[in-house]
Amino acid sequence: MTQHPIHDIDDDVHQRVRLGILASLSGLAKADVRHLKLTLGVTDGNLGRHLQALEEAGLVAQTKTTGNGRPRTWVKITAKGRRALRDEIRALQRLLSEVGALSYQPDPAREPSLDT
Amino acid sequence: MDPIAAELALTETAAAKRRVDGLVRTAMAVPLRLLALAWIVLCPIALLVGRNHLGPAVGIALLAVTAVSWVRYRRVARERGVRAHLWPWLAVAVIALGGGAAASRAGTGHGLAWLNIAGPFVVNALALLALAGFVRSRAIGIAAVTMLAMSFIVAGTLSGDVAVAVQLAAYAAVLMVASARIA
Repeated sequence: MTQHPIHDIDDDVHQRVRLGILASLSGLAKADVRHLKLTLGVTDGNLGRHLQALEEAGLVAQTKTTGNGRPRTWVKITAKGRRALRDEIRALQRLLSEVGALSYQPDPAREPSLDT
Repeated sequence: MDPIAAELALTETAAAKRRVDGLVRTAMAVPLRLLALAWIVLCPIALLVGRNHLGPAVGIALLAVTAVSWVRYRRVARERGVRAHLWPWLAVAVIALGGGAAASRAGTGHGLAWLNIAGPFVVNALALLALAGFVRSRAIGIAAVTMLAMSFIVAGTLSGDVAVAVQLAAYAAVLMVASARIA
């Protein structure tokens, strides 16, 4: 018997902001916290909490630098993070196609690519 | 789990991915524009030193493009807080240099003038086609296909150093257009 796709949902990843962070970092070498904050429209505190959770799960890595006397925090996605994002997207797509056999129709133009 | 929440999460993730893809494509305009400039500079050199002695100049040009791109990527990262990977360009440069030299040498070794003249350019265009697929850029893809067509036309109509110089100029023009479209 095939396991229900809900079991493939990763608790570390399955959260709006965390998914947004991983998607925003995938394909990039790194991005700074300010860029993520502006892109995702979240507060420093909120972003910090999610980044900490993702870092503890080994999905992102943070490094602090000081350039022009200004401290800066850079974030990059790890290989594990890329896999987690890809798996999460797959799980959500599977879930939607199973539950939503009633209404859900995959739209390639709106679906995220799995090439993370 | 609520299917609407799942669909919303997927839609938001898709939007974030599209934004990143756009950033990566824009970043790729830097080495492509520099490569176009390098090909323009190499145009008269091809006529002066001859196509079979162009290898070192191409190597230096690709190295310079990579170094300047790296500096530019660092500056953009400092200013905008986003840094793209340079390795897709590095892959193109390595393939263009290694594959180009091999094609040119094979053409000379086997007495195939068309391979000697068009081979390195075809390798370069194919590497750019692969890059287009990787960064999902229609503009780079169209440029690569145009370059391939140009090489076949030049190989069939021109010969010698002039054929190489014409291809360099044509590739430079196509790359300029492509980099302007993705920038």
